[in-house]
Amino acid sequence: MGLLMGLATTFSYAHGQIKHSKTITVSIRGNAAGCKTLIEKAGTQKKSSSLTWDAATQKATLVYNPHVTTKDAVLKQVALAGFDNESYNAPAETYRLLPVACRYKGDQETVPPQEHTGHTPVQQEHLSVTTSEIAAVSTLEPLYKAYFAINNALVQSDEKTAAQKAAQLSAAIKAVKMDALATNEHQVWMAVMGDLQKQAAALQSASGIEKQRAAFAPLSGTIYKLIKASSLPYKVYYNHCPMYKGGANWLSNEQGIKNPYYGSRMLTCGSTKETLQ
Amino acid sequence: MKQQIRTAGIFIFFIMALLHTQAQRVKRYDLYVTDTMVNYSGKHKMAIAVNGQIPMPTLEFTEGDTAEIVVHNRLKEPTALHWHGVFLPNKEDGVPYLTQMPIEPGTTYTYRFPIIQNGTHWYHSHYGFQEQTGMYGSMIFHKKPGDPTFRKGIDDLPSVPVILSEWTDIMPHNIHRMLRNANDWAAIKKNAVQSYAEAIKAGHFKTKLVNEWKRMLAMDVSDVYYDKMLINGRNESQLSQFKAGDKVRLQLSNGGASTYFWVHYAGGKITVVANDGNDVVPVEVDRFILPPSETIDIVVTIPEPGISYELLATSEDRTNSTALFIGEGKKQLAKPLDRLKYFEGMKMMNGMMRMNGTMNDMGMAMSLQQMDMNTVMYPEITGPATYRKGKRKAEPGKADQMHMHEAPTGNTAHPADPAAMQQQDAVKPVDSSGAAHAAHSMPPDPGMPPAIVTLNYNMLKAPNKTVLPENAPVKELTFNLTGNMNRYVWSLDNKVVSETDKILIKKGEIVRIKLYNASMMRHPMHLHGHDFRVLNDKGEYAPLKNVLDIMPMETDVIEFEANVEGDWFFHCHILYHMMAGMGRIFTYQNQAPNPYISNPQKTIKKLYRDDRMFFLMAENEVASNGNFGSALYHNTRWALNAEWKLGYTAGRGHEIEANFGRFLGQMQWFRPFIGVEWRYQKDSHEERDLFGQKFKHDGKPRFTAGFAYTLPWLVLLQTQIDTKGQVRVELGREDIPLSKRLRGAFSLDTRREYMGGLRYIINRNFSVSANYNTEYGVGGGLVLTY
Repeated sequence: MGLLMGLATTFSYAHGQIKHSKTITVSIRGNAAGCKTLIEKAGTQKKSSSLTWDAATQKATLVYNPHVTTKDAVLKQVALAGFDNESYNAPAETYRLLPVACRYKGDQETVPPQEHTGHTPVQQEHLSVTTSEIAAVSTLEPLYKAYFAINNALVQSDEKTAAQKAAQLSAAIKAVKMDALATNEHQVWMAVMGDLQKQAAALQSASGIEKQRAAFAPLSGTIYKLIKASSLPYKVYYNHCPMYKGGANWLSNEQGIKNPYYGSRMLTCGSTKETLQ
Repeated sequence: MKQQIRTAGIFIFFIMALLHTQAQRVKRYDLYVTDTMVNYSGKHKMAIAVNGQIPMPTLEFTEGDTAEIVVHNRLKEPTALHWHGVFLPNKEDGVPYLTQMPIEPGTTYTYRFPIIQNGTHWYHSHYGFQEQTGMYGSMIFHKKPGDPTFRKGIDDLPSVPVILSEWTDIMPHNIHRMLRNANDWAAIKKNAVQSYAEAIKAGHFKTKLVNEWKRMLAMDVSDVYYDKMLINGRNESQLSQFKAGDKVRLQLSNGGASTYFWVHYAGGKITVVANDGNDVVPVEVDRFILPPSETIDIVVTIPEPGISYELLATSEDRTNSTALFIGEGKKQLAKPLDRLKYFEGMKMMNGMMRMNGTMNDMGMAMSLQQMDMNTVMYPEITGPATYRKGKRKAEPGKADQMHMHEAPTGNTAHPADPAAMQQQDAVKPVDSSGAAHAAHSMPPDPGMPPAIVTLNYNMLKAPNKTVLPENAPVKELTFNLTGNMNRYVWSLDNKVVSETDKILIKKGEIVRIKLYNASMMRHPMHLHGHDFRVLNDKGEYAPLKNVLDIMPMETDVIEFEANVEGDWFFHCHILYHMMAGMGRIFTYQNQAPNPYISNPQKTIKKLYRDDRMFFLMAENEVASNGNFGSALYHNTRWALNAEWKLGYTAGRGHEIEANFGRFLGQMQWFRPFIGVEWRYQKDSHEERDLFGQKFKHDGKPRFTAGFAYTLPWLVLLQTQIDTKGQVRVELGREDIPLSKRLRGAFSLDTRREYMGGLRYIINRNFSVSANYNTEYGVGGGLVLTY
């Protein structure tokens, strides 16, 4: 993509309202005609700059008053609106928010800096899918899967999904075939079954995210007892949040703290107490 | 030939090493402090430079060196330098009137102390407001060669000292005065007045009403308006010596006088490797907030060739930012932080505030920055502000068509893409707990930013055990951080430094301090001369720090071993809070006297002057129907009020009253006073007031006694009795924020005098006004404010 510096630099003194105006050509990326308004709006400011962009050449004519602004100041605004140009690249988040028709780099290129972190939600989703496929060993796996899904929903403060997954959990509890359980699993199951049914039902009927969270705390305690007895092919992290109602725990199949009790308000509150395998 | 070069190289290296070991003994810096002119904002202003530069030069030492720092004071005022976070003998600590006498103009002063630690520290003037006007700089202590704590891959990275700061065109003395006078000019400049008009527009009229009913003035997360934010003295700069694949260690210090900085990086995650000069187990975050005076060491990576990545530091109020681009080539911007949703914050405050002015944490045991209540105001986490009719919001499902006509620009961008927006209800009310809605769609959408990981104190873990001696005696202390927003009084346990004695501690004991922040603002509490452990869930590996940022309603526990005698200041490092008296002084039992302070009892009074200072505020309205004005001369506890209403003719009448009183209680709503008043009107005849008392404006002075009390909705009730036994009750309020620049006022009293006024603020000193007064009639004019 041509990101070369524009060549034409001319002076004119009668360009609209812009005094001492200077006209240059700059390179700005974009693809659809729909981008035109966005780009030009970002680069145009009353009495100081005016931008006219051409989609075919990926170039724009910038008329500005060098006494009040600079080329870079205008191009920074253009980049902050989502468009890479010869001086600045747009913030990745801003680019992603552009209308689909305007995404001149396609969707793949969105966040190069974060590739190495391996923490984008897309990858996480793949991760949990694959782990749960392998993990179909324990009879209780559907139950755990539902639990982790509730956990994720609470992390995201997603009330609707939490309720759906709570229904799945209740169904999974009913569907457990006791004769298929391993011996030690079976013993714990007998002890916790009653609690589990009640707690899952409570969560299912809880209205509002805060009530769901309140119901999630005791459920996590019960699941912990159960999961300890199961041998799973993946790691489970037993986490503790010291602040929620004087301290509450939860289980996660992902390393790292994502607090379901507060969601993004304080996502990282808590610590891993125990790693189960 | 090659061999020769190598030999020569080795020889030179040897000589250098020799010189180096020589230099390790005593390392001397000469600092010349001079007045200077700067131009950060487009205007020339006075500032202070050291060796001709702002910030002050970076001082580098290696653990084991002896520092010798010679200060040449070429200012017209005294100065003193404090070495922040440094372990040193008390007499070198640089607190004027406490550990040394100030360095007088034209004199030279030598600080000399052994360097017995390593890490990122900084230094600044501890005299007056000099820190605000340029006297701050980085101070880096390197690890000794062969140090067992040397961390490969961290301590051997190329490192760059980075000092953050802020600049204001207004002289800091004046800023302090304006803060004490609840002047809202800074709010106007920041567009954070939060007036009734703005509240109605945002659909938050009730929120504003309740807020004022609970006697709160509109508050921001910070109080001072700054013209520029700076990194190493510049608003934007680039480290082009680095290229793709490089890891760079940045040694950040916040040398700002009152600004908290949000820091995030366009090139991905940030790895935090040290805090307050102490190593921590590396922890990866998306962003962190750097409180005033804290230091933090971070490692960042440059992902792609030919691109430099922005490290963006934004003031907590988000009105201003400063950038450092790391790498060579074209600049990759980081996403700027969108403006705060002030009315969401106000709503949250309303929920927390009880009618008596104390705060209710609703049973949440908050600590260690883990729960930032201000999150309700952050659009990047809780979604963009919702306006009543969703004027600027994309309609669900129509977002794609919409961009043709009116598309969101960079500044109003939504954190969720159109697909995610569809799942969000058109108007999403923030639920009672203020839970976030930003990250909520399942399955995850590529357009959705991943949840943001923000550093907090519970994520810090020391690489080695930090436990204190087990058998040492423990002294337990508790401090409540208290404050009064409306009068800008900041204190511990509702007492300022001058109102308390020094706190006596014994050498060898462990001092454990429990801090509770009962004020409405966060405070970076700094202890001189010691590092303390911040008790978090890392147990024996609790991190060591010398600044503890504590958010409203949080409770934190810190502990340190009392191991260096002296008088050590413990104070809030927001300059204007410290000057208001928010601190204490620790002193050791039976310690040797400080050789630099010959008369400690007398000298300390000069330190106390800071928080005993009086401030003047005056306002005079020259209107068509008379000249009206008031003046206030006040400090932390006392206030002298004067008010005058002067008609242009004797027939119109003249009134002057003055009173002197003391504010009581932490909220300072109650103020008993004594005063004097004089009213004269030519040919005045006897009148009757609401109580049936007869009175006359006869021109005889009368003494009064009474009290003023702030009622809900910030209405001031004033009741007084004069020497003639006449009682008068007055209700009134000034500065009702009707719109961003329009203020309303009213008053009524039992003498059937009623007044209403409007004032439109033009600038810091001038307003135009209109008023109606039962005595003087309708008028308009110009108001001068000081």
